[in-house]
Amino acid sequence: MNVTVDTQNQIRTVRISGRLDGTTMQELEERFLRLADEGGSRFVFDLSLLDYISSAGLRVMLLAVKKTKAVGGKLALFGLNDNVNEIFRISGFSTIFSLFSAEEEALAFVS
Amino acid sequence: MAFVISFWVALAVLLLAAGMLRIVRKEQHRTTKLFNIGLQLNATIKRKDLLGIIMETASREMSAEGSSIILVDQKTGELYFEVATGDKTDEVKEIRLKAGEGIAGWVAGSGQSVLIADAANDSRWSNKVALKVKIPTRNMLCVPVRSGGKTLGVLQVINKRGRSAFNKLDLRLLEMIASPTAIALENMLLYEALEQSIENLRVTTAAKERMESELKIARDIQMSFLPGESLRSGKADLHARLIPAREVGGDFYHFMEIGEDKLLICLGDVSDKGMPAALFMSGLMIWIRAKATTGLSPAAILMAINREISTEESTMFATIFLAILDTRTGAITYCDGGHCTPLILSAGGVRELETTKHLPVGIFGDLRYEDNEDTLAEGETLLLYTDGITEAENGRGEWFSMERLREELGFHASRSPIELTESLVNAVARFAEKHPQSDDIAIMALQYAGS
Repeated sequence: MNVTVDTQNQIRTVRISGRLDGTTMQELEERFLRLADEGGSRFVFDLSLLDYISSAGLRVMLLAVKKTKAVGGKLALFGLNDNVNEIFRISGFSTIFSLFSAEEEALAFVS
Repeated sequence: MAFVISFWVALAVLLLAAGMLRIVRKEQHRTTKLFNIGLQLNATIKRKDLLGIIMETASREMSAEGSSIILVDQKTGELYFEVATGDKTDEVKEIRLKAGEGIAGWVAGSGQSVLIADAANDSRWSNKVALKVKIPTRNMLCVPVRSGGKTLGVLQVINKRGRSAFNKLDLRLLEMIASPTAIALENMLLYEALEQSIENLRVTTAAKERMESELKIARDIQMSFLPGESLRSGKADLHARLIPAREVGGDFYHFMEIGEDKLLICLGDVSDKGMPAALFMSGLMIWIRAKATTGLSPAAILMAINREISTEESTMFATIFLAILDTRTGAITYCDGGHCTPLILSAGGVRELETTKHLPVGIFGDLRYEDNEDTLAEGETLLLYTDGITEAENGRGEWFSMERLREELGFHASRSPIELTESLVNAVARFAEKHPQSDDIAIMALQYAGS
């Protein structure tokens, strides 16, 4: 897994590639918590290069949405591949996330 | 005249020969002596005994009143005394010198020997040791003990017995004794290092064994929450298996008869592995047992459990499928909390059970869950499983996958629940080959025999 973050107009775009599972979730969790601690409340997660997400990976997503909601912020996801999309659907997680296919839509949603 | 000359020549030759013989004898004597010293010093590698032997040997061979072997602490560079011969042995034990301090420090630092013929009039003499041992030092020798370019310590003798002081010949002899001393010390240090590693290994192994035994107990506790592997209830026959990836895991299942003709089944997956997941799962199992007997529907049971275990902060959750089967009619009421969609096997093939997807339990306490209903026809089997089956990986990084699961089920549609679960578990193991199992596996097959 690889994570990069870029910030524009107070929106933090987190790009996650590779596999998000039990062995990599910690890294993303720490990264996200640092962003939240420095006052971040508007997030876009770019999942277009994410190959796989496990239930442990979903936990970090859940943490992100809970933390963001708690401070009245917004979180949008975009670019889920079929595999990841199916995991979101099966687990019911697609009901608590705002999912978009294009980056512009996700940015517009959190702006 | 010639006779006189030849007499003197002969005498000279004789004397020369006698002198050489004496030198040879002396050299031989010294070689034997050093050889014996080497033997004595190599008699033991135990620190306390060895240091004693070194000092006794040095004192005896050098005709000294006292001797000490001062070691270099290889970590700090400090010099320290372990023991010393002479009357005041115990008082010397505690002394530690800073690197470079005193004559011993200078010898250790420079690697050169020192001869002090008259301590009272030598400015190099530090009386730190002398004050502690209360032996007035008249003269002394101090030589480095070196091995492989490393200074292990210094060997020191104090006060030559009799009226004369130590001289350069004595210094040479002590330097020679230092050589087998170095070998003996080196062996001692190697032995101690070995002993230390054995001790470290023993401690680590003990900790590991303790941890393993605790994990084993945890596993037993976790397994004790399960209702067993098989149940026949009315016209229903079920079999289930749980295979954690580690000693304990987050997958779980449960089944229990409710009243005369109802059978509750559930199967799920906690969003983690190992001990945290096992603890969460154990709590969940208790809630399921508590709520299952209250006459609630599956959705109502999940709502109640979800309310109990959801907190603002917690991010641990469990996907869960819970169903109640009427064992007389095959009617089934169920609720899907974000779990892998169950499959139904019949003679006609494999199909997905239609479910309304809800979030897993443990996420938001105020969620609504709704029931779905279906009916198992005669001979149909409901299969519940976790993603440990579909996402089982082989050495090439491939997944067992939904396709293989369906294909495998196609072969076994008419088998009994126990044959079905066992053949599936075996198929997954065959697929993964030697690749270690990374996720827990839970599987349950429920067959409705019909009337």
